[in-house]
Amino acid sequence: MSSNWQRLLLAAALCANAVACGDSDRANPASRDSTANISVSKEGSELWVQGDSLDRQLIADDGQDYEAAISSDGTRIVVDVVLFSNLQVTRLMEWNEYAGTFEFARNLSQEAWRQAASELGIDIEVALNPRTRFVAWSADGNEVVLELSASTPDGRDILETRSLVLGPR
Amino acid sequence: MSNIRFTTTLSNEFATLFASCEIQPEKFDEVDDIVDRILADKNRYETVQRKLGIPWFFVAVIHNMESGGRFDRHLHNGDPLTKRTRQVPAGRPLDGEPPFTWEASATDALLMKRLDQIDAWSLSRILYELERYNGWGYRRFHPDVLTPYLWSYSNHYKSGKYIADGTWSNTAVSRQCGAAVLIRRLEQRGEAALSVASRRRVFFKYSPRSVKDRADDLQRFFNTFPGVSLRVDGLAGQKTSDVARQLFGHYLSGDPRSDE
Repeated sequence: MSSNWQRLLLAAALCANAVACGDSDRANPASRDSTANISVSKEGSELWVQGDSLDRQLIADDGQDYEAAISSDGTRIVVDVVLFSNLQVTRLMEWNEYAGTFEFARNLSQEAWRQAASELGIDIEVALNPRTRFVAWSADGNEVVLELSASTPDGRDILETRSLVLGPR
Repeated sequence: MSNIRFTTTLSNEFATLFASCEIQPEKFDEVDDIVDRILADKNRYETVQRKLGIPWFFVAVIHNMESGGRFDRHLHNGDPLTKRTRQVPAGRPLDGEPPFTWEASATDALLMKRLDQIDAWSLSRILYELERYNGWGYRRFHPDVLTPYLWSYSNHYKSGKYIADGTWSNTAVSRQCGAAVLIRRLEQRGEAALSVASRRRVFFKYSPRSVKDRADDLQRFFNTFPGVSLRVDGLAGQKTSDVARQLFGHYLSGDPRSDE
């Protein structure tokens, strides 16, 4: 119980921080980027990233639609991907300094659903219309808050918030 | 993910799958319960049909797939109608103010997909648009598994699906009735008016001098009845037509004796 409260308080704090920062990351990602000046754009069923020192790079083309949020230091991008109309996942892309590109780093949905499945006693193999979405970055970009939603075959709604620690870059 | 074109080959594939679609017997009651619920709200789906020209049952089965048939949720992604959508696509509908009516939200979701621009809603086109609506991931990355979005609870689907975290599982089984299966049951109950052309099509015609497609299958089927013994040659002539009359009470279409 106490861990649940701690998690909720942390999520609330991160959300409050995101609000306090003014415009959301999604609304104008470049405005909060002080280093790489990167931005993302949707073109049909593809998601692209580009910046002052970054050639235009395709970062997703396996979904129907996307939303992206860039960390304040411009080295991480969280991408919400609609894989199917009834399945949305969230991925982490990280800047690879040596390669000079963003690379897939973690399936955040997998970590979030594993946590939720363990704590709520649900089977993610049978969850209906499962979706994760980005909610907020922590100020230092080392944590991210996701929201999970789904329903169970017996009609129970699931709506959970999870904070995932990414660690420092 | 790039689109897949609606070709004649694909159209035939959908038609063949639908024609051979059988609901799993152990799922039949569950399917009928969903169909009952859909029919109870048929007038709401028909409202959308009148506005956009999209068959009401197409809207109904998407509604069942995307938000469990709930009228307090956006058709886009199952978010509550009390606010604009938060998940992708976020901020929909663009026009109007929350809370939205289900009809206004559904209209926005379907217009976003440009489904109002389709002229001819044949059976195959309906199935194509359903799979397109959900996404081509099964067809592109796991072509050995027919998408459960259409075929779950039927003889065309056993296992294999993308689970909640977006990873593929060969053993996971969809616990949601497929959209095509619901349409199949609606058709069986006389509720889904599918392509008039296909309804009126005569499959087997009297043809004593040229081999017709699947006439040999018809002759094999006839041969399963006691006392019937036809040569399986694909020529649907007098003897084949005689058996048709013996079994069904009338000759094959086009048999000159039909007019006697």
